[in-house]
Amino acid sequence: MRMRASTLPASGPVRRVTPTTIIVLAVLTAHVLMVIFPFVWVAYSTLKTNKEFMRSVWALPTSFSLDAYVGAWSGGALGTYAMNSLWIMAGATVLTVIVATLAGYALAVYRPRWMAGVELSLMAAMAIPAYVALVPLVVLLRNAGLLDTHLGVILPTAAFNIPVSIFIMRAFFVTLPRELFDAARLDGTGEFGIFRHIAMPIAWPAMFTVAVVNMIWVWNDFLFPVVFINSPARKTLPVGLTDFVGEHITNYPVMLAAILIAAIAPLVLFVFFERQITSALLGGAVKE
Amino acid sequence: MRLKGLWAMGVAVMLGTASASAGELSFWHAYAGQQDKTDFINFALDAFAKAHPDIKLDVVPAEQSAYKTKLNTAMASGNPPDVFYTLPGGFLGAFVDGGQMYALDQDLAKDGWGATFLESALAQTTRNGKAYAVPVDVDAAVFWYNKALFAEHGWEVPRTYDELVALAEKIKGEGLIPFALGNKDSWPATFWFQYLEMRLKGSGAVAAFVNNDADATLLPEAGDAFARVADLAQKGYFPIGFNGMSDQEANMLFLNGQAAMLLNGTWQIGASKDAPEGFELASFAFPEVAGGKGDQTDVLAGVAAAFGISEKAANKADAVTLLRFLTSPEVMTKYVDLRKTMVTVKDATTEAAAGPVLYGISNGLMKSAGHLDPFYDTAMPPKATNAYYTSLQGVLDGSVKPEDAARKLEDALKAGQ
Repeated sequence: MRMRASTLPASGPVRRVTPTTIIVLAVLTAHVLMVIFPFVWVAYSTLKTNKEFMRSVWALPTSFSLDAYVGAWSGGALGTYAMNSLWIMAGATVLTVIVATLAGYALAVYRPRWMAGVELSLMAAMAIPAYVALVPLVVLLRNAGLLDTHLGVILPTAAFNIPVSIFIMRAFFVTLPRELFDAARLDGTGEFGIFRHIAMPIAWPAMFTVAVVNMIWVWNDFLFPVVFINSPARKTLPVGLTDFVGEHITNYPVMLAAILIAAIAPLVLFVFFERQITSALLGGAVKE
Repeated sequence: MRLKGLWAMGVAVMLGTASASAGELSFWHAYAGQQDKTDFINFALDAFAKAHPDIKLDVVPAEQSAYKTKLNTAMASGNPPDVFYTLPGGFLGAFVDGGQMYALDQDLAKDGWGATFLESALAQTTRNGKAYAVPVDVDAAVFWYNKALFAEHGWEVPRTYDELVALAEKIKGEGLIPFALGNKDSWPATFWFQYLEMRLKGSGAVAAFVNNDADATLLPEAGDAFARVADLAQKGYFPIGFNGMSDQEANMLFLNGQAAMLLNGTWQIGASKDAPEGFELASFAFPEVAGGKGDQTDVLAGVAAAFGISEKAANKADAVTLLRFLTSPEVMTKYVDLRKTMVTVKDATTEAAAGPVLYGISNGLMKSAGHLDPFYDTAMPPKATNAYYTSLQGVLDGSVKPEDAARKLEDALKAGQ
């Protein structure tokens, strides 16, 4: 390609169409179609009746009907479920980010002698499968009077997500030069002041990473909400969506409509914050 | 933030400590996620509220598979609901062995309540001579076929297993799938194995293990049964990729005419409600197996769901009132009408409520059956069920030898005794 380009006269910003670009475009187009197709399929399937769906899963709808959306909206309380999911997500994420930032900073900057012990216990905590903790958690929550409350989901969820989040934050703070903090100390800034005015402003991208990752985890979590929440009015979206999945019989268009409605909020968020989210996700993976 | 947290805690404490007092019951059930199920429970609970305004119910619904996790956790943490939906067999058995179920015998003896149930059904919720739950509905596994498709191709309903296999070969030759099967959740293929074992060896093989019969065996017939299932899979009589396909996806192949037959439970009637035009549902009995030692009229049928009361329930009188109401003939006939499922209460499966197909099974096949053999997978202890599922899947994909699968299953059942 380079050889070819060098033989051509400089043509400014106008791109030349070469066989390579055609192949690249074709592959990319095929890839985009593959990624988009499930969404398109869900969207047009919601316009079918269940009978049409049973006749052929792939066929286009023969008539335009929004009955599936009516069924989805009246069949469950999707709006309420979404608000519940939002509260739990916000609560667990804020709690996790605060604890993880403070702990990650302390572990990275002060490097206490017992740090290995702390790290080991965090690692051990990460290895505990949530299923194993279910029964003791229910007993704990009941004794604390937190069973069937949002707080009762937020606290264990945060507890399970905090160890990984601490590691991400610690990995970030370790990369900061110690001189930064020493200089502030010499200037007479207090320890919390250093954290608040020097470390935190630099740490926003890392905190955002932790927040985004946690938001996705908490939003999609099924196990804790399904076990800890009993009242239909306090259910989260993933649990609420099971209102539409039958043991032997499922009304597919209605279920897909419910999924589409439930996906609107995260989709809108993603469209608006796409750049931040992708860079945040990468930020955790690559050290600059 | 802090104020809000405290406020939430305060509310939580109030809710948490408001445990059931007199006239109040917590009731958990799995009638969710499916229109006919929610229709039934809404009807029943509305009617109950009218008939017993003094009893307040705190109702917690959950979809079947989530429900099992939820109930198991609640039971294990010593926090059971007062009245709840349960599966019979091993699932209920674990609660009974843990001393968590209230024995209903005294209540069943009163006013002939116990006599309203089919004995064979009540036997499936009885353990060590005591009834720990009341059975609700009965599912039977039969062969379903698309009558219109059969007429179009001139196929005939097979009477023997050999005829069935010959018909499958013919159907495959015409480019259709002989048997729809989606075994992702492991239970759908169990009907094949169990019917073959019932025909070859006889009913009650697994029940013998569960009842601690020292002479209980599955072999040698189980090896033959597994081998026959493996043979069907190898000949390509099931859809491509059936071990990764869900039961509902396989059902779609059957409804839209890509597959000709389906061995499945009576819920198939409800699941065929939205079939496209030109589909006509009909059923036939699992055919006779030549040389089989079992009673060839036996039907694979078992209690699908039951209601029980927790030993910890403070208010047992009201709990029994709820159970008696739910299993009253009126509510149960409505159950048949809405769900197109047979019920365990005698004479409640009426022709008007059941419709012709279900009534045909209830009044024909079920009545002429020598024995009803409950579903192996729910009858056995949960650990053995796992061994059953994995060995059957292995046999189907050819990775496990039929004899090894049979031996593994028998060992698991012996270990569970």
